[in-house]
Amino acid sequence: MPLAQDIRSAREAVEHLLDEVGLRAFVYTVERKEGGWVLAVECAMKEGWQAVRLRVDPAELRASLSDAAVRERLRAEWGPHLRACAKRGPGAWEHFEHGADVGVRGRGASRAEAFAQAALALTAVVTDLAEVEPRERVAIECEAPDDELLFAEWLNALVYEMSTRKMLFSRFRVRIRGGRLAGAAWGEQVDVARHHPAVEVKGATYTTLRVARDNGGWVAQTVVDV
Amino acid sequence: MDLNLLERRSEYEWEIPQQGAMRVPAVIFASEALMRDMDRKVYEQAVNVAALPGIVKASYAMPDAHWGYGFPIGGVAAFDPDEGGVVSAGGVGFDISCGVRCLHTGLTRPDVVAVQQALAHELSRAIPAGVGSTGEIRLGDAEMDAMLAGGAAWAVQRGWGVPEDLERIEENGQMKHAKPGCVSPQAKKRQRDEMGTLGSGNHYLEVQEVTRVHDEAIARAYGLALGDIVVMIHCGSRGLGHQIGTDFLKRMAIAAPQHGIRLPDRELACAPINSEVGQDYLGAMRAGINCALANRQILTDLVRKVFRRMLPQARLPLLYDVSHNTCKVEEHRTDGGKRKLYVHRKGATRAFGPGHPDVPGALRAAGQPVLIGGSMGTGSYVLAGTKESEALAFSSACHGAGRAMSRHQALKTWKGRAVVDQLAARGIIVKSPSMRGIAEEAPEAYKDVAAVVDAADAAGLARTVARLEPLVCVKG
Repeated sequence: MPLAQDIRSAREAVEHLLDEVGLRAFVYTVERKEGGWVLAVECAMKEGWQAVRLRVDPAELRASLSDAAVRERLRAEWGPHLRACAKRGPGAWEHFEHGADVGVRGRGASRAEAFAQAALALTAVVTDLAEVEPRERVAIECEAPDDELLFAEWLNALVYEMSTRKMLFSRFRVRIRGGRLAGAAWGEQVDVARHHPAVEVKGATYTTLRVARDNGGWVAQTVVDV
Repeated sequence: MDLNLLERRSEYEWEIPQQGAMRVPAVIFASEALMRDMDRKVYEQAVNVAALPGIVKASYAMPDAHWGYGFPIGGVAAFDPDEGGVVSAGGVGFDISCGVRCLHTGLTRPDVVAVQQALAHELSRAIPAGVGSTGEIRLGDAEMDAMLAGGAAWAVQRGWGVPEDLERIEENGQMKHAKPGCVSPQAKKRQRDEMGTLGSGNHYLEVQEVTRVHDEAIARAYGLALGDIVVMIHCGSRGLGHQIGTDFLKRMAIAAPQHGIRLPDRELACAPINSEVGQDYLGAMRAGINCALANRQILTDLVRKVFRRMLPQARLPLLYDVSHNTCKVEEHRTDGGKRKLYVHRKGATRAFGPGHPDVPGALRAAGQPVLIGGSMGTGSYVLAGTKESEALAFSSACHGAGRAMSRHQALKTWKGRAVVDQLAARGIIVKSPSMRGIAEEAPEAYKDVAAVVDAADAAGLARTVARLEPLVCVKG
């Protein structure tokens, strides 16, 4: 396999795993170095950042994308090295009342986390989140001139992927830099018998649209049309 | 709503006088009871719409008005392009040209009751409904554009229906000046496998019985009599319309400052009719209308095929097809004489009165049929447009019941299976792929459609012709 593809799948696997470890904030690189592969993670601690270097095997990383047992083993192996890193606070999502439609609200330590939480609320409009297996990854990119329009774009991108792929999503990852969002959603095909999907979401409106700092964290919300 | 905020102009007409940024007053048509129950947000949204550039006469809300996005659902507003008038994606809604179509069957209750279970089963198999469902038709790029330009006329050309259907559809089944090129590739992709699908939520296909005739003469003109069976289809422009709404809400919000439009809230995103964005939206929105008309036409064909198999004696000509999420160019009399206005109706039905040239010849003397969907298990209504409706609200009437309870609350209150059983005990068979969907759409989660229709009738917006009750309901 060519190197570029190796790196791409290694990065995807690493993101997935670090996300599951639940770090508050981190940056990372995966490189071929000194005859092997090295993962360098810098993660936020209570005060400042720490750097951690781990040797990794690209074949194993690739396998972790489809094999839960490999993922589990890698998480156990990396965990002790990342113990000093601050863990994410509990993000939260909720629905709020709107006459004919439904409000979705996400809260988190960062804007990105609030966006990801609101995406959980979006799926919960359609079905029970616990029923949706995060089997397949779909990359999502969007941009907008400000935080609020970016949030609406993020939800609309998810609505578009749900609609065209006939999928439901239950895990989300969001990174925001400037006015650009690079994220991913993990989910599976709609299974009517299991998901009992109540209603399709038509799109995100700008009604009660708000992305703001709130109680030391972030909140992102709007009403979606169903 | 606090009634002290309004001035009562008549028993069914409430005015919010022009004040602050409002360019015109706002008028809500409703009974006192409906007004008291109405969301205060309707007041705020009707006031906001009254402040938009180029609005003519008043910002109106129908008796079923409730909190929407930007415009209230049940909102009507007309704009004059020569006075800087605007067009608004939120003023039309995401489900462009969502509407209701009614088919005669020539059958009566005993015909249907004899095969009710089987008919319900066959209809639910033939009509793709619910989240993730797809139709059998796949449109390539050129055919997609032909559909977007041709609407129901395109569908009839392709064999899904007969030419006589077209004269019973607004715009004769084909919205003119549609611009398929203004519809994004994403919108077209969302529609690739959704032609001939019902959708979900409050969309449905019902077999109904005429259980009361309120106006014998008009009912006769419409071909309706007590005990008649009709088929009612409620759905819209599917993924394509939703994506057009999404695309242009963003474009209009970003472009508003360039047009010198200051929005009190971004949900009111709009653009001057005489601007590039405004014209692009109108072209795309008209293509969305054609998509909805084509979709209801294809569904009609699917229904006819089921009836041909199950009840071969039935004939299913079209009574009428109305759209309730649109912006249309219409000529209306105002204080300044006759003017061409861009009339937004969001959750409101066009209701041309007797003699209007756009009403098909056979129905013209009676006025345009106005089809009002209830919730499953409650009644639906056929009304007729009135002469006075033009002066009241640019010939507009209500569109349905409106929710009384949020989906979340409904889901906590009812179980889907219990709702199905209760309706079955009343002789109504409900078919849906989703029990959760049924719980969220429980009849009691909706307001009383009869109260809404009574208010529309009493206000003079439209005249009640007949009440219909379901025997079979297919839901998404």
